[in-house]
Amino acid sequence: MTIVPWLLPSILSLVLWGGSIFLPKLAVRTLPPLHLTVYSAVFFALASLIMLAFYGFQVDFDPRGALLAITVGIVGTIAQVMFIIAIRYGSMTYGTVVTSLYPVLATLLAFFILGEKLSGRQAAGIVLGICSLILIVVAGDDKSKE
Amino acid sequence: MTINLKNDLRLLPSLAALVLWGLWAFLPKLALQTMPPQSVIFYEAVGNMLVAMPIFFYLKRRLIKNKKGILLTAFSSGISMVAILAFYYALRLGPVATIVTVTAMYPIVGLTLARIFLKESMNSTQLFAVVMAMAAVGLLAG
Repeated sequence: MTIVPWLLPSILSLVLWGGSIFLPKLAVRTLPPLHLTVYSAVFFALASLIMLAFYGFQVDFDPRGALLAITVGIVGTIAQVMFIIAIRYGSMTYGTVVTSLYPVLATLLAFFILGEKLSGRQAAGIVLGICSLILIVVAGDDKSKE
Repeated sequence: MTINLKNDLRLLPSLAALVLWGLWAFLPKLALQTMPPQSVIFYEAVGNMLVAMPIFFYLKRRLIKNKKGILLTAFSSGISMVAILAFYYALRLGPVATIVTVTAMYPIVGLTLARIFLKESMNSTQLFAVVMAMAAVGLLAG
């Protein structure tokens, strides 16, 4: 049995994100969303500097790549603000499940921009994902039922 | 079916995050074509600060100093950084659609923790929707 090379880092990322997504819900009880965002950015920058130390502080520069990476940081931080607002005023379950459907968009972008082929199975996944999103919306926020 | 405007408006931040995270998950693949993961993370941190600094000034440079909240945020940011590094290494080795969808299964971990520690509950319709969403992620990863 051959393990595809991307699987192990993907699983590591999956487990770590599962833990990290839970912590802001606890932090937001004591810090307002905007304060939390500033602290997160500062600590992420510090963590990235610690990481760079392991790479000998070597930072490559490519104008297009750097611009794209900076954009990643900008959209990621704004997304985080939106998510924190969502879980602060709604339930964690609701916000987490809705936002977890972002692979649908990423898959479509990869298909149209990178030409990554979409199998019938993946297309079915997109349809099912959209259906589940509609179902969550129709079901309403469970906060009122908690 | 009734439309509850209050609940629908509450969905907007989640939908905005959904779209932005879709872009956030896809754009690194392009950046990683010309730079290694650690460099992309460095510039991503710069991008984070470009949003955080105006917020800091909007807050009149006064941040609430709650030790527990700050420690949780520091821990969360550290874990996120390692998770993103692993995600970027995976993105360099495989297709966007598959890797993004596999890593997107993290809500299973998050929801389990929320049920255990926060006692959040789900009704049967929502539970069904969660199962559908997870099945969608499974199909997309195939």
